[in-house]
Amino acid sequence: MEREKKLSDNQIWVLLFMFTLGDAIIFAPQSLIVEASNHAWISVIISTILSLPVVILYVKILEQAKGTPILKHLEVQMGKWVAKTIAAIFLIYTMILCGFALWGIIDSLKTYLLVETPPEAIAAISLILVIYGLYKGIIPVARTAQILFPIFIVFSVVFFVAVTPELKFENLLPIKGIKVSEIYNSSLNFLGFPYLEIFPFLFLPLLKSTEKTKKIFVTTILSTGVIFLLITLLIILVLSAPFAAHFVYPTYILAQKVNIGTFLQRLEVLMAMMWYFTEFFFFILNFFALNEVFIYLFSVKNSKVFIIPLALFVFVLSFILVPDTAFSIAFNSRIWAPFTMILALLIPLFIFFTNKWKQNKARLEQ
Amino acid sequence: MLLLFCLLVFSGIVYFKDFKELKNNGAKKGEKVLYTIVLLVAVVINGIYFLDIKIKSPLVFIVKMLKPISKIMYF
Repeated sequence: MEREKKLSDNQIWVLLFMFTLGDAIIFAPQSLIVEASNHAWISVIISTILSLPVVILYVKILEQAKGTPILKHLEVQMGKWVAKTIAAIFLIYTMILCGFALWGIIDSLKTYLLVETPPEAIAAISLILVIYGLYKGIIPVARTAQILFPIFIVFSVVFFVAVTPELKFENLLPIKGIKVSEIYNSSLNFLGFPYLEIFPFLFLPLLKSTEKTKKIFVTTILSTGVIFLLITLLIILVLSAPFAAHFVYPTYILAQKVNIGTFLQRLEVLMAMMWYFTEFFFFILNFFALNEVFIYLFSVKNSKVFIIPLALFVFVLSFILVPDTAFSIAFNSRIWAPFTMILALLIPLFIFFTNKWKQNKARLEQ
Repeated sequence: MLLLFCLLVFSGIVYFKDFKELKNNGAKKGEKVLYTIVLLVAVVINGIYFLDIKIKSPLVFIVKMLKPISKIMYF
């Protein structure tokens, strides 16, 4: 008997976990600390709590679709043109996300590890991996995530424990001078990046809602929230907020600080490898979403054929998207949150309420 | 220039391989045309990038559009 092809609950959990951590694990702490200084950890807690209703909204949309792909469900509920328009918007959005993900991989590797390597080579190698993953399908990618997840957790725990001798609790002070505007701005940024960015996850193939989906989504968001909180707290406690704000990747600088008895050192390369995994899953899952949206938008039958042309688009996009680091910092701190709020909050709200209204109307007519 | 040459060779191989697959799968004419257009546009944009011709970031337009909203949303 052939088993029904769908992602298991455990696979959804692991994939969403890796997807949420994504490149935010190395990018988000810097923007948080720049905005809220030593109170950045408060923003992490606030935005994690605020993201929960949004995530529940996403689960409700999945439940409304009842196992059919979301865009196909939209077509049934709202008509072809509305569904195609939404698909076109998300085609641009997922393409930008893919471009950003690849740019993140290139920038983070080039800044500290592969300084002499041409960025095109890093991009090409990462894209070959992604194309291979896409040809194989979502299930093998999910299984890879399941294999890498325990390794990621073990190394993260070792990292968190190894950095504890360097903690200086006075770096957390003064707690008194909290400015509401700083906390508000950084919480808004952190809500936009990474939490609202998980909306394209709903476009993944073979993702179907079960009775456990809500629990899976909520626990994943809470778990990633704990990891973000720990990393932000450790950066503040070890490096101090004013010092950490000078670096684009304070998480990497934090990993460099690990030194136990001059025996356990240079853990940063190992950690960078772990972060590469999360960035890679963020990238590949966004690419899956991009491919799915493209297939739907143009009613394509042979989906795999379009993977390489789309990869070529993403390749060039990763180089032209971000002209320089200053632009990326300005964009992330003031534009990204409104941008994702329109696409990943207002559109899902529109989808949810329209579905609800249609379902109620159908019930009344019966 | 070397990168451009590699891109052209690579995309040529990909085109013939995928076009054959499209034919074998009985794809309609529209799908074949769409595939050709998408690959062609991707190769042209990559070619422009490899020739060091400056391409404006698409995010610049998004920044222009969202600046007023951003001013309202942030303190």
